[in-house]
Amino acid sequence: MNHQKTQTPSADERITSLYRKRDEAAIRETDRVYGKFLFRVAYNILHDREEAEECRNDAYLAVWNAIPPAEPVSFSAFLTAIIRRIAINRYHALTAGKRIPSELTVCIDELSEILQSKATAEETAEKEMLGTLISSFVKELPERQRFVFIERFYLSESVERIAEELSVSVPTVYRELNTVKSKLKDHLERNGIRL
Amino acid sequence: MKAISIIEAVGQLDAELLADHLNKKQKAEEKMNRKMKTGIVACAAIAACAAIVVCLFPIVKLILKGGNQPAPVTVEYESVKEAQDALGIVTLLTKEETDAKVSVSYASDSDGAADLTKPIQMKVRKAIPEGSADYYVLFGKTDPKDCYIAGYEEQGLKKEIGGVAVRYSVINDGANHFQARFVSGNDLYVIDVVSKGDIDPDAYLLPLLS
Repeated sequence: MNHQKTQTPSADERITSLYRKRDEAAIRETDRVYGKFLFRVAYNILHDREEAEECRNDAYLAVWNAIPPAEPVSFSAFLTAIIRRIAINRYHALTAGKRIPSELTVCIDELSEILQSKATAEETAEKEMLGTLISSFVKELPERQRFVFIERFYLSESVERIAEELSVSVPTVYRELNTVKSKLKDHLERNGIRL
Repeated sequence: MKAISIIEAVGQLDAELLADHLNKKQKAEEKMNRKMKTGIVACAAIAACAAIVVCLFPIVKLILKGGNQPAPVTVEYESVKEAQDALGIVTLLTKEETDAKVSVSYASDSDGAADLTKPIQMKVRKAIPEGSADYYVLFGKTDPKDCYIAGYEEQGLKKEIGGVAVRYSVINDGANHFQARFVSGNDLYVIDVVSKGDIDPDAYLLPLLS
């Protein structure tokens, strides 16, 4: 993330106020403060520089169209959710039948270990409900496991990078991931999601 | 439920949770960057220290080991015997029984006077037909290569006399030059002869070594 010094509430407020005024400087500011971070999120999913660039531009357009009327509580979270959504959609378009080497592919493989495709939960549980369940699950996790979960399954960060951020070894991150996956399986089953 | 659905459902993570995470991630990255910067600074400091040590080492060595030592002091004697009596030692040059001019160089003490307990070199100059022969004893040197007397060229010429290995060279550059080196006891002997006439190495070596 490349917004260490500038990502303060006032900086976010300044950027969102520019969007509300329909001032094109809003996009320049967003790019200056969050550009590298957004590129990284898209690149983690797509592993293609050009595609990641396009996703970032699409994200800027999406934010421009969304604010106003949207008034995000957290601008950074709002941006992250948008770029992730766009990158995953592009991932689906690109993969349609073929695999591309990306962290998202690996994340999906990791989750496949606990979630079998023959299950019918998808038909009975709305995605939003699942999202709420996952949010409540993540809230209950210890801090480090929560960090690992969001980094790996939301931001598709590599295990090596997570280990660096946490100042722990790579095997430690793998151990935490296994624990989290096992807990997630229990949590979903307890809440009526059959796996 | 397909794994891909979970990945998509994760996308609906609570915004506050995500915002909180992004703050933590930012802090973690700041910490990482600080660590990296500290590491780079530490490496640079170590490299700089190493460079300073490498640069200063020869200077310190010169200062501590005599690069700045006072010059030797030379004392003249009338004969080899007189010089040896003063030194309290006997050298192979005794066999020459020469009364030629003899000089002994001593290390100087802190006052700049000769320290008679630290002889460095004894030199005997002997006149020969059409030239001169210098005999040197370099005290405390046991390697023929550890010699500062000029006029020697390594030609691979060697001979053994009385169990002593002698290296020597013979050069003609208008005059004849002969220089021989050998170790006896704890001292290095050098015979340096210049003559317009012929030089017979044995004439200089045999009297000392046989």
